[in-house]
Amino acid sequence: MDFLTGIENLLDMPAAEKVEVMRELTAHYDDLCREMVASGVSDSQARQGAAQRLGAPAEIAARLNAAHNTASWKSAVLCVVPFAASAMYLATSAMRLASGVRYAVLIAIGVVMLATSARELLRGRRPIWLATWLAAGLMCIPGLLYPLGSPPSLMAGMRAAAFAVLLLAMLVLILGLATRRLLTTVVIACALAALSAACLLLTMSWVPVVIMALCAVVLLVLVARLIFQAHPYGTRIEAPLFLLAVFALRFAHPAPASDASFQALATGLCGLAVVWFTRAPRHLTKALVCFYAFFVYAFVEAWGLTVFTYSEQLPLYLYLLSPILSLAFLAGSGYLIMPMLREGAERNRLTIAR
Amino acid sequence: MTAPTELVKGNASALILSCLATEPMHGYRIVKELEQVSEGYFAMREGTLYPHLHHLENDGLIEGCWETVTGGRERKMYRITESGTAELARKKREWETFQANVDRVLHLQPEGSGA
Repeated sequence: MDFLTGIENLLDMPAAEKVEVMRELTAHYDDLCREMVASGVSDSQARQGAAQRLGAPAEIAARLNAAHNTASWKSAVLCVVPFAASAMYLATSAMRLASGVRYAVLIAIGVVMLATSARELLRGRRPIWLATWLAAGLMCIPGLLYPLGSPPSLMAGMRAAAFAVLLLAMLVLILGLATRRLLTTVVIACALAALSAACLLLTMSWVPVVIMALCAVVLLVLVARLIFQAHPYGTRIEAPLFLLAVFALRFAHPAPASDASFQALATGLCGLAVVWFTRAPRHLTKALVCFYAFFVYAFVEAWGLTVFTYSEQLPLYLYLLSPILSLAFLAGSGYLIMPMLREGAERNRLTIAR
Repeated sequence: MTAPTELVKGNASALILSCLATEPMHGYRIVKELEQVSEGYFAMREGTLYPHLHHLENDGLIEGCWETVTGGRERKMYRITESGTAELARKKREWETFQANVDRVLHLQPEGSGA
């Protein structure tokens, strides 16, 4: 594969823009080759030299994608695949299929999402759809740990949450990005995970649930920042998209049959918001879409929890968990979205000055 | 000696606008102009120029259109707009203030040096 094809394959923007960008890059590449050939080198050396002077294809493509900031329809569709998969899983609950079937569907979704995400991460690529695929993969992990065939009890759920927190902490460490501040955060998260596990043994009720949920949120925000926002080839618009997907897919696994239809509807709505997000042309629009989607989902979820589950007299922690998680996710996404809002304000300033 | 990447990245818009303020140019010419004027100090990875150009175009600070240049080849020529000129003036003032203050701090004399 030649240098220009390498860039073209990584460009993610509407076809017309892609043609224009490639035409411009090709012209520059040809000028460089011509200059080198004129200086006396062979054709193949000139092509090699021109590629070196232009830079790494992945870096050029990532920066161009960020500058154009509107993904293709193909990427928008890929972004919503995890939501469709989640709706499929919820449908297996709604249809009251055997737990073995449900578990097999969950394993298939989890393995495909995690393996594909790992492949993209290992290749150093950051396509926009990676945000939702990674979110779905990570959200499947606690579900995969549930014992086959039995509904998740509080103990099993807690154990799964503890595993999830520890896995995420390890992920952050393995990525090799643990500066002193990050390391402190991870150590605190692990300590709280251990405390929660101890509370479990003492059969304390909702305290560890809230601690674990908040730890998970902190670590997910860190993952969003490290993998997408702070990575040289990542773009910051992917970080809030990742959190939005986590938030939307969070309730997709332990669904009682009575809630599954409602959850499938909410997941579908969130999928539509993701398409909007992916195709929206400007950072500011995307930031606002993200905030709006978080808000709507938090509202719909709180309403659904009250309407569908209050009559079942669920324990207090479930009622506390929902608003706490919603607030924590909103705070995390706000932290990641702030630079985009500032950039939007700067662009408005330029427009007004014009 | 070449400029540190981070410094170039942070000031790329000002450098590009400044080049285009002299005359309309295509990407390849901008790179050559930067290298020539700075005597090789601003040697950038040339592919990273285009994201900067496209950002500036999105913000309306420059505008590009395809033109036929010498040898019948087509190149996208960029020219600075009115708001680009205003933005360049603002960036120049900002840079001069920054430079003056950095100079002041870097040339602090140790106490009792007799200055």
